[in-house]
Amino acid sequence: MKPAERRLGTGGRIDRERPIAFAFNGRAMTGYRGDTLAAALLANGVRLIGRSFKYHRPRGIFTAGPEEPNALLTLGSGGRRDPNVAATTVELVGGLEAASQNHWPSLALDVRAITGIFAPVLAAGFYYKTFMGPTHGAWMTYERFIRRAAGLGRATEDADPDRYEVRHGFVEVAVVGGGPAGLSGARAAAHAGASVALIEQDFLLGGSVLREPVGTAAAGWRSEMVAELERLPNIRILARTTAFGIYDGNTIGLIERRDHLRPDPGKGEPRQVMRMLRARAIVFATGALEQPLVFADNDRPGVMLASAARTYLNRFAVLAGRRVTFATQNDSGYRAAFDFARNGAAVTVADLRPDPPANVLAEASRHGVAVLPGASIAAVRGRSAVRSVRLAGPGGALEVACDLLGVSGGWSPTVHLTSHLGEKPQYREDIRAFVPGHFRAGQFGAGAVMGSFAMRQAIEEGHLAGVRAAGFCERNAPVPAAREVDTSEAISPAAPAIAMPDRGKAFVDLQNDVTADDIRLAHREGYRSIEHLKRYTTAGMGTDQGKTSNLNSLRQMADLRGVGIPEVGTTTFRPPYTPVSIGAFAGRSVGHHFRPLRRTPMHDWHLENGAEMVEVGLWQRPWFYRSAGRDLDEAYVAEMRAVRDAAGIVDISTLGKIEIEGPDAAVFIDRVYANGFASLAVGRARYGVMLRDDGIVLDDGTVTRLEDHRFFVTTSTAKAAEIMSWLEFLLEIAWPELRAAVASVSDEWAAMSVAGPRSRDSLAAAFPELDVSNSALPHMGLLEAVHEGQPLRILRISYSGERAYEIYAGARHGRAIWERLMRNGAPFGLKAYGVEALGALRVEKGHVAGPEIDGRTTLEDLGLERLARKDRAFIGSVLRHRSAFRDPARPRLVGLQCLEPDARLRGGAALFAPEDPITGHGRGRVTSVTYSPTLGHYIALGLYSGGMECAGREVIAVHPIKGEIVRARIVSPAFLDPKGERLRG
Amino acid sequence: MADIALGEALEIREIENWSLAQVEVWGDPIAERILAERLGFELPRVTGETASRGGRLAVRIAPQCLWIIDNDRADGVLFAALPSLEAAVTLLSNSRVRLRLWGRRASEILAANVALDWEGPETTPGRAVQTKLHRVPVLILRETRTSFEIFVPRTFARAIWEWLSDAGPIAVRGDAGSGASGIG
Repeated sequence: MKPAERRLGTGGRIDRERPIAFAFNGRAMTGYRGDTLAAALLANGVRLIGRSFKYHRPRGIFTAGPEEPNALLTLGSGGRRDPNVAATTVELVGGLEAASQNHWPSLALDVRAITGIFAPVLAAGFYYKTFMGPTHGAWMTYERFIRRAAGLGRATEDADPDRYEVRHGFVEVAVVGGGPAGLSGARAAAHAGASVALIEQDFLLGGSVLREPVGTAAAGWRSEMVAELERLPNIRILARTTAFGIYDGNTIGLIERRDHLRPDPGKGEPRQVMRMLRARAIVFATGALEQPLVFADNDRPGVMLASAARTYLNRFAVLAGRRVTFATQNDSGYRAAFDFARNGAAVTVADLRPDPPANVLAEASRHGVAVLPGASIAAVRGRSAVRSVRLAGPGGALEVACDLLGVSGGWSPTVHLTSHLGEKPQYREDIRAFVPGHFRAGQFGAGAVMGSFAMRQAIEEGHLAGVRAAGFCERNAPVPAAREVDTSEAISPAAPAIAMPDRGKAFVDLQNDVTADDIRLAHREGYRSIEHLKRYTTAGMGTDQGKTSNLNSLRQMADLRGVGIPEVGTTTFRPPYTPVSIGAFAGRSVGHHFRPLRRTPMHDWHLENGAEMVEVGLWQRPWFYRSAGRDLDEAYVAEMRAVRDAAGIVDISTLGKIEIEGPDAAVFIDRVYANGFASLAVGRARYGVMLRDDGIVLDDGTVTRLEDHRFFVTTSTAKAAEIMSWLEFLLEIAWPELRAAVASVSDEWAAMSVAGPRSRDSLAAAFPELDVSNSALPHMGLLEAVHEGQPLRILRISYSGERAYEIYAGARHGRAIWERLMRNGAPFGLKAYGVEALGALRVEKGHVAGPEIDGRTTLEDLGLERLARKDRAFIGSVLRHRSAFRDPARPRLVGLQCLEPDARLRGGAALFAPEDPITGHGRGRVTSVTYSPTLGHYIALGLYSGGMECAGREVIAVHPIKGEIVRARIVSPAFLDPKGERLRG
Repeated sequence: MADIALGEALEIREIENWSLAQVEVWGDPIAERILAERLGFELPRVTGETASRGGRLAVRIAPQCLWIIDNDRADGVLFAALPSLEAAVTLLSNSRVRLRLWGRRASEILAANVALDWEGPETTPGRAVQTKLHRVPVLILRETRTSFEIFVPRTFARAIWEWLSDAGPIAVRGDAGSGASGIG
């Protein structure tokens, strides 16, 4: 047959007035609006469409829906390249570029098909058994070659230029599936008064009815239903939308495709929209999938599900073959046979059943269809396209020439979504298939998914489910009776069990090249659980998730084990039902929207004054200022010198800030911190450390007593949210009797620290009305004032070891206060400094911070044990005395002085004693490092076994990633001004 | 369900010169009674309810916690002596940026971005909800069917402003240098 002849002159649901140009493997082709890509390819005579995953066998289109295992193509190019897309699910749009995958040098001549020669040794488990040696790391070498030889399409490495969105939705009744049951259910629920969302993955409503010829009663019923639904104001029809997952609370994950709209990302138009639809009730009308038969060479191009062949014929007016053989074991296979015969094809039916129903045989006779009862497929001839089949039956063997082999192994309800919440499907012997096992509250099922395969049944059940779902939402308006239809269809009896062939390559899972022999091998080697079988053979994995293979896999395993199918059970169904683009999950959270950036009130000043910013969590903080140096190393050292020699100002607005107020506020704080605060005088601040319940240090910060019953607490930047939640939890749950309240004021106050010997001069110049003398504002003192009508809070607290002041101003006025300080401090040498210098200054001073308070260290480890009160309990006070924490060999805080003038220490380096072999984790680690301009060499804080008992010893700092080995000496962590004279002066 | 149609006019701007105080009460509710007298209206009883008069708005954000919003920036005046009556008062006027989003399809913009049912009873005009917008905790006050106020932590305000501005065809009102578009 010539390619052009495959499209019939009439019929189908395509718009012949609107031709669409597209390309496959660079070849220009034409289809019509209403085509899928698969239909258009078939119409253009394309039979060979891809190569199989493992053996590179030629493959063609096998289905007409999302269950497609073979026809996986790469669409688009550049940043829009989208691999592994089932051609059967792609709506044809103009300019579409499709390409086959997994072959070299070409689809027709794939050199890698040579693997087929070695197929007998490439059975399931081959890789696991073969590529495990000779060394432990050998697999890493083999893997590259194996992945290159086997696989599917390649994802693009370019940025995706399209826009995706995540949206939220609410509805009373969601109906999943737009077939007869879904249409009927949506109609009933809407008439009952519920708001309804009708979800259909296809771009046309109708489901199985779309397989029926245009002009039949079923097709007319569909048209009337769709027209009625479109008139109902409380129904939202979501076509081109796949329900890919069901989640708690009747939440449905939906993915909507909008390629047909040619979305322009420049105009904000999304290519795909992910919706999290929260429904009060769900009607599952997800239909059923036809299952294939397993026989030797059942994967040849031209072998196709009978229902798919019928869909291409009646919906797309594509006659996929003129000499057609249908192999079936149920009545539904005959429907395709009759339709093909009506369209002039020469049709033979090989019915595995020895005694097909008389009415079916009679109708076959009327259509001129030859039926061979009890016949099975013994062989398929033709490599790149089916040429003939060899049938074996009671009358002997028979060779039948054909260009299409339709197969029907019965129907399997689409139970994936109904199983996502963990409900296992149940096997029904009468239909030899699984149906939903149990529904959660507000969930209902109707139609083929429930095993009711006849259209009339589906309509009735859909109607009932729609009424019940609406009733669940307390919508009980009178509902007109269901629209009926006379399809005169026969209900197919249950398909008989079929013995798996034991000769030839008989594929159970087409996508993963899993054969009946592989399943026998798995059984012999003990992988008999269906979950083990899946993992050993990969049956049921991949983009199709075994939609056409799972049932045959477990049937075969049941036979091999000699047990019933219910005993074998199914694998676990998990979302997504069909593949979902990563871009859709990300939505608009890409680029600068990747996460919400947090900016301090002085953010713009920093940018305007040459700050190089760094992300600290969500925060944007000044790392260093370009005015201080050409690069980081030069700038931060210069900034440190400015602080040590004159004065510096740093933005500390990112600190967590909490107000604790109430008559029991002091009691609360005493319980939370390891050190005591009840005795803290009003107007004074104190350093504090919190422990976790298990005795590990949680965070540190300062507590300032503003009034008798009111405290101002600061936390580290990193732990701000965690500490706030922790305090709320304690007050709400642990100690509700305490009369205290916590409020986050992190966003209320802009904060900046002025440090250095000229800091007081700078402060006094900026606020001449305030007395900031040493007597009025001593170390750890508080000054609350009003400046130009706005509250100002000044705490004399030092992080750098210098005389320092933390200035808190209302966030709206933060920049103005900062600029005032800069302006008035300039004569005293005040310069802005960034977080690199901030961290370096605290290392010089020996203050611990995040790198040391890393969730593994105790008070003793950090040299803070003197802070802990002994006269009362506090969080962590019991478990901090665990024997493990008393081990003298625990790594404890030390200072490290680099002994090599041309080398540097690095954070994360492992520490070894000179006599140690350089293996493993060593005796400790370097936590924080800086170059000290004051000392003239690199210094570090670290945690070392034995801590300061090892003072004066030499150690080896090893950084395996950098390949560096550096000598250092253990010294006091307080590198600078150990008596604290500079900060108190 | 949200379906933002391009070309639909929506506007967003920052409201300035207002004040916010958080009042948390435990034990004897006398502080609430006094506060109600000073405000001149009954305080909302249920979380999410609001009450207002004369430019002052009370929002119950938790069973024992209220936000008092004053359009006249009368920081502190209302709350004198309340802390001695088993209540904690925290002034938060600087901590939030107050955005107004309005337009015929404003609810659809929010519905697309916030996991709340804007047709449900919890979000009718006059109700307030605490939720997340672009992963940032916000309080959204529904004024009418087509206008909303969004209270955003100040340090996230610009991120939210940019997120909303990019959500659809929104006409931005207000000073780019001083409002949420310009602050940290």
